Amino acid sequence: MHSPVDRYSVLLPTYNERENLPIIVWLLVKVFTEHHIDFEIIIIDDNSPDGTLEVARRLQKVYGEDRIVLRPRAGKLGLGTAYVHGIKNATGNFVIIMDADMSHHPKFIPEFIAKQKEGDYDIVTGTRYQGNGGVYGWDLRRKLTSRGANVLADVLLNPGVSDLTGSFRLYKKYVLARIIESTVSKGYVFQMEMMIRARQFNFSIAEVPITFVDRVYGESKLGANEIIGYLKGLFTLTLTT
Amino acid sequence: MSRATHIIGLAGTLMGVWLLVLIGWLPLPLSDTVRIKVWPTLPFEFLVALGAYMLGSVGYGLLKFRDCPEAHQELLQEISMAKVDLRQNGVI
Repeated sequence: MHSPVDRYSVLLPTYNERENLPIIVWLLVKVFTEHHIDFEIIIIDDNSPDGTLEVARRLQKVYGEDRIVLRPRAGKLGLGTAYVHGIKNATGNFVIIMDADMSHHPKFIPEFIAKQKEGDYDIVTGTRYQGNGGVYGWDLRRKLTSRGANVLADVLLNPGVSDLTGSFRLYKKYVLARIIESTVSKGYVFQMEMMIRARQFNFSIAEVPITFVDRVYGESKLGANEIIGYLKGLFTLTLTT
Repeated sequence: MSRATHIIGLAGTLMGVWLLVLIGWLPLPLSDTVRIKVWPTLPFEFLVALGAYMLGSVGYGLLKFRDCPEAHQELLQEISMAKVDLRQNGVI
């Protein structure tokens, strides 16, 4: 099913993920091994004060330097530059981006890969809003905000993707590099802009339903600031793309 | 062309046609009732329809929103399996 040349680089940007990182890596290794997929996990830690990097070093000892690659940075420099930094060091021809907090489960990666091969898609994106997709751990307010944000983006930008703010995606490496070059937004809008840019460049996008389990350890935040940031970003995109 | 110019262009064109018909420069074969009673209210009806569509989409999305407790259960089990293994390997 997999051609022997395909290698998948998982980018894991981390900041204070000492609890989550070992488990997500364990799950990734398990899934890749069971499905005989060639992989590497690139951990980009932004100098977490909780010692995430030390845990990452121990993981590297257990799973090997060809599987676990450490690319730490001096401080919190943002998601976009973390991806750029990660791609520079990626040896795979495909790149998978996901959250390190276990809200994205590696079990969907083989489905992403199968979907990608089905139509030689440039991008496969996980969607919480179709098929068997779903979210665990959100209250009504959070669901309402999420649905509202998507409908608004749909009307203004007409992106053709059902889960715009999702961040569990598989890219051909050169495609991700090309998109990231032209993406300027931050925060929630960042993932959305990546999809809009992808469409501008006529890259093909497929969707796979995923379940999303909100952080088991630690807290996920959605306050007024995030919502205002999202709205600002959405209108900026409407004006500029 | 940005999305904004696209949207404004489309809205402008529609408004222009609507206005031309309204002031009688563009003769459409409309009955008097339609021309006098319905045509002047079209823009507002469009806004109401758009709002209803958006609210409806949000509501439909909420109804279809799937909680996935089984995914949570599965994850918790896997976390305990992972922890046992990681402890043996001296990672945690």
